[in-house]
Amino acid sequence: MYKKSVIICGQAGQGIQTVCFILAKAIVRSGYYVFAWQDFQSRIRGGETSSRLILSDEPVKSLPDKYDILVSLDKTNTDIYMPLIKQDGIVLAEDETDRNIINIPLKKIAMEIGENKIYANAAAIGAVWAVIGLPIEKVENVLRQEFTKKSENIANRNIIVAKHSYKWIEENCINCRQKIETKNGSAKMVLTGNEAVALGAIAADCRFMAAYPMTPSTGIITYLSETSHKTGILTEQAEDEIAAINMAIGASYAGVRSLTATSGGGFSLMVEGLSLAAMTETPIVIVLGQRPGPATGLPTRTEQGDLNFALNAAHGEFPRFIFAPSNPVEAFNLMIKAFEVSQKYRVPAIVLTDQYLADSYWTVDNFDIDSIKLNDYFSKPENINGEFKKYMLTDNGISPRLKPGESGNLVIDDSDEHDQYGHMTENDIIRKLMVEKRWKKYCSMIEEMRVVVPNNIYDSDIVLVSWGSNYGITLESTKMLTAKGIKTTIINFSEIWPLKVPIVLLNKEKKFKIVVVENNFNGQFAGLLEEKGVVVDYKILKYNGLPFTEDEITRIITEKYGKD
Amino acid sequence: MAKIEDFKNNVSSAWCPGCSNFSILTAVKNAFVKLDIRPQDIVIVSGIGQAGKLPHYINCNVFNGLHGRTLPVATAIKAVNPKLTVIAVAGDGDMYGEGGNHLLHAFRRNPDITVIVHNNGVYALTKGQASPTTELGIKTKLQFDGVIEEPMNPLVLAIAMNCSFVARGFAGDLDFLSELITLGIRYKGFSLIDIIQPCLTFGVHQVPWYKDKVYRLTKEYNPNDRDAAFKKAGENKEKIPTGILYVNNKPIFPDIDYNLEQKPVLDKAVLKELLKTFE
Repeated sequence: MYKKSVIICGQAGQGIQTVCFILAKAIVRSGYYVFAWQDFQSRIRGGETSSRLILSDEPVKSLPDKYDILVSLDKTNTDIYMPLIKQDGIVLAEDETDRNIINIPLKKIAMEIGENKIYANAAAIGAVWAVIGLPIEKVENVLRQEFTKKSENIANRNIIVAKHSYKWIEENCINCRQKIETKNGSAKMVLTGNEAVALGAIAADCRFMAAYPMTPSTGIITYLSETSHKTGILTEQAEDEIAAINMAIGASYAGVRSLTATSGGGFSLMVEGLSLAAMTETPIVIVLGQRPGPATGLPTRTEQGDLNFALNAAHGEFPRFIFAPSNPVEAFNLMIKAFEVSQKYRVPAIVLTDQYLADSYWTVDNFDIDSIKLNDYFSKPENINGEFKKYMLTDNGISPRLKPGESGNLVIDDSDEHDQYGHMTENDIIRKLMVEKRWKKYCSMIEEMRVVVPNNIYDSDIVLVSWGSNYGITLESTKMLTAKGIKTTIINFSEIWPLKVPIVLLNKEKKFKIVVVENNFNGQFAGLLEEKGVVVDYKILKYNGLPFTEDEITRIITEKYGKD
Repeated sequence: MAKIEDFKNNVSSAWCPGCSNFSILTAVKNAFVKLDIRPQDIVIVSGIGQAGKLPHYINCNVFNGLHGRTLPVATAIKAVNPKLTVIAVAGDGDMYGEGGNHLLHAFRRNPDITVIVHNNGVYALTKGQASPTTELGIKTKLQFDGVIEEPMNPLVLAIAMNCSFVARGFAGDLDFLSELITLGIRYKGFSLIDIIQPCLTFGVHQVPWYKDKVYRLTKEYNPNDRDAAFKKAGENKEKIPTGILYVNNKPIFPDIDYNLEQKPVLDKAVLKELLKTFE
């Protein structure tokens, strides 16, 4: 497997993410896979920003501890990120010291060739591309495509600067230049987790989204808004998250599939609305993009600290779905599933992402569009006999549903406890029946959940259990550990709640150790498994705001369970 | 033609006998009759409090949601299905206290909905605490030394925010109130109708007290004149004007009819076209 890892660093405002995006797109168009994570601060200018980018000839979904190439646009950043570069790695930066750095005049090239120091990031693109060793034309095409949107002149300047620094490496650093071949194959996509979530919503026939901007989930409404002329989806930036969820509920009541998205702080404000959706049995999908809390926490970093919150949020008792996609393909598919089951059972569905999934660039071969099948869960007005009962008591707890205005049947919803028609009641017998009606759905809801158990699980020494976005990382660690002689398999939960525990995890005779990997302090998912009777042997927990690396998990397992 | 009987249902009322809420209920029904709307084409969204119970007593579609949250729900219902007549009903605590931020932004967003506020200057269902519109110095069980916070003037606020349609009604003047609600519903844009609704149980003043002070604005009053509107809206001591205080034409939300509820499911070809942009 061929793999090159790159750090691009500099201050906020120097266009680090642009470098990353252009390189990612050019890599994929050269036939390789790319994965890139954004490590940035909550600021607009200055500070420390880096993009971590991996090129490979096989799918990549995780980060290493050490990198092959560093390109830096800022002296302070060079010092910060140098320790992450391998001994034989290459560092490209403007640097007069006698350190082991290729002293490439990025700003000078930008000024002389592009006539503005802002093009230093284009110079960085050309330099990295030359070191990676792919033909400059691929980068040129991406730059032209992306910057012509701004202006022809800006596109041209980016291109000539990138070409110049590419040539500079060819002429001044023969040793650092590698050469790899462009690969042919079917076109692949580069997209973020947020974009995949948004595309999933489009595919699921979502027609309305309201949200208040909050990192790391703002990208979802941004994408749905910028594509709305093509899709016809109505998006609205709400005054706060309370308005956002109530708008989503209103839209759903009126008869369309609706969405909202936020992060932990915003979700805290939505909690009252979540309870309203549950009581009125109004289907909605809420994307909760996790970041480290409590309170404002680390706004631009990653964590999986809101699982228990998502599970227990809101007053009163009611069933809900929770999904946690591990990558864009799952994000796309699980958004469709979240909409479908939310409609089917008339319960809220929460999709948990995190900054690692939401902001990273991932390579996707394809989304399976053709096999998407959506169902209409509304009832036909002509099939309603007598006065319409929005909350009709049924065997499975699911009542008929109509749209207001569609027919002479009136649609009555109440946040108070209500009778079968939707009018408020304080009758104790009806109250009991209505609580039971809402919970009757749970038995069927659990049957909707899927967990994949590997066939060779009984042969393994270690079973890594992860959930959500850690899957890419645990998967890579599993390969590394198995190669080291520690037979490791993995169960990743992307469909979290109602929790379906595979029997194998409850087997008392099992020989393998169960190790849960989570980005939080308490091991929240491990706790849920333990409640269901699973004996968790070890927890690997990380809560410093950064994602796990494949090396980190491999090292911890090796130290604990490795044979000497 | 719609008849008043079309809007009657057999849900028993939980309001106090003789409450002026009953007048508002009748005025709303009168407006529906006047506008000749069918029950199925109306959605009344309400919050919590005695006012929030109003839609249950009308034969129409109902969304009785949370305290203070009527406006976002009503805005989205109207956006999804513009053919519906959407009305939000709330008390002064609900609309001016808990839901204050939504009101501010509804003025800006300007959805084509009508808001009816039962303004009795007291939190009645929680047994008599001060509301955002309670007069200075009024003593309650909770504000036992008297209210020290200045009351809010929702009409001045609405005019300052260039609200599309701003009116004050009086529950003791049923005919005029019915007319104001009719005009508010008919007006394209966000209509705020603040209704003086004296509370029998906890109210400081009762209907007869108001009858001496309340007067109807005449045809000579020009509701397009913003400065005059500010002046009228500020008049609330010796004499209290009722009628349309201010009207203003501005773009509504959403800017176009998205036909959200009717249109077919998106063609998969569009999705495939979007995916191409990521290659």
